Amino acid sequence: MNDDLNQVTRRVRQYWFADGLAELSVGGAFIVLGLYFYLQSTLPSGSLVLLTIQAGFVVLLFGVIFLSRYLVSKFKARLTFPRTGYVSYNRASKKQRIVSAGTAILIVALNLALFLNTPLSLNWIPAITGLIVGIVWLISAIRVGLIRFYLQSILSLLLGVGLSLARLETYQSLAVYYAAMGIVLLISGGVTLAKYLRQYPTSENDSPA
Amino acid sequence: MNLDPRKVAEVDRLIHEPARLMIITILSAVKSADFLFLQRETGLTKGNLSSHLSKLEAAGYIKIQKTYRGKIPLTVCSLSNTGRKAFQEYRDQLKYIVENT
Repeated sequence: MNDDLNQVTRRVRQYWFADGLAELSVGGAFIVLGLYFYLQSTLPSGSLVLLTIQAGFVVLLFGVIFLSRYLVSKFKARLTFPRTGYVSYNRASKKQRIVSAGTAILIVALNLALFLNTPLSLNWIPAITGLIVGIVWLISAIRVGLIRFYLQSILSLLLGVGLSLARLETYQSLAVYYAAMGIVLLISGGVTLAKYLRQYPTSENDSPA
Repeated sequence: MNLDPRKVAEVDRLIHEPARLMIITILSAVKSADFLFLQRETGLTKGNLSSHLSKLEAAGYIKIQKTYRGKIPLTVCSLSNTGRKAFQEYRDQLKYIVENT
């Protein structure tokens, strides 16, 4: 019985990803990051544009996150909720947020320590990036049980390791990593959205209880 | 096999009914969900779902809020604290019964 209840809970969690909008937004964010690293690798060092981009990285990052969340909620309100219903999810508890923030800080600190102590390890930045993104994706896959997330997790790791072994310049390989993962996510999200819209072509009216 | 029969009798029958158990389980996983989503997930008819929701609301297990999305009426349901507690107790009771039979 508990297994059945867990299945229902899992299906409810999957609903957030049923329309592919979340993947499209993350894919878009990854493309922007890819573009950022591409500019880092191509612009001459010390140029005003490069300095501006570097200085505005945090703003860019938060801007992309904020814009993605805004667009996802707007599109869901327009496309998803009228078709298959409205759901609002619980925010992560304070404890969960502290654990997530703590883990993120720990990963960044460990990476910094590694790169500062062994400059050769810079070659492995794409692999480490692929591993971290892959782990995040794997956690989501386990939580919601979507096979495509498992595949994206494996792909992230393989792409990161492959780019590290290719020995490209760090920024170039990061640009390729984010652009490639971004394209994969855009395709996956796009296909999921197309399937969803085909499956639920017309909106149904809500009925009061 | 040391099941106390009283534990079986103590199971919350309001939650134990399959359709209502499904509704409560869905609502336990979210902050709130609307009528359309609940209908799709449970596969119940509008009348049937409406009736189950009314019973759960009368017991204080769920809260029902009627609003509008543009001009379309929107019925949003959420699990109350009482409902959450009752559902947890129900799960514990089931676990106890399964483990002791």
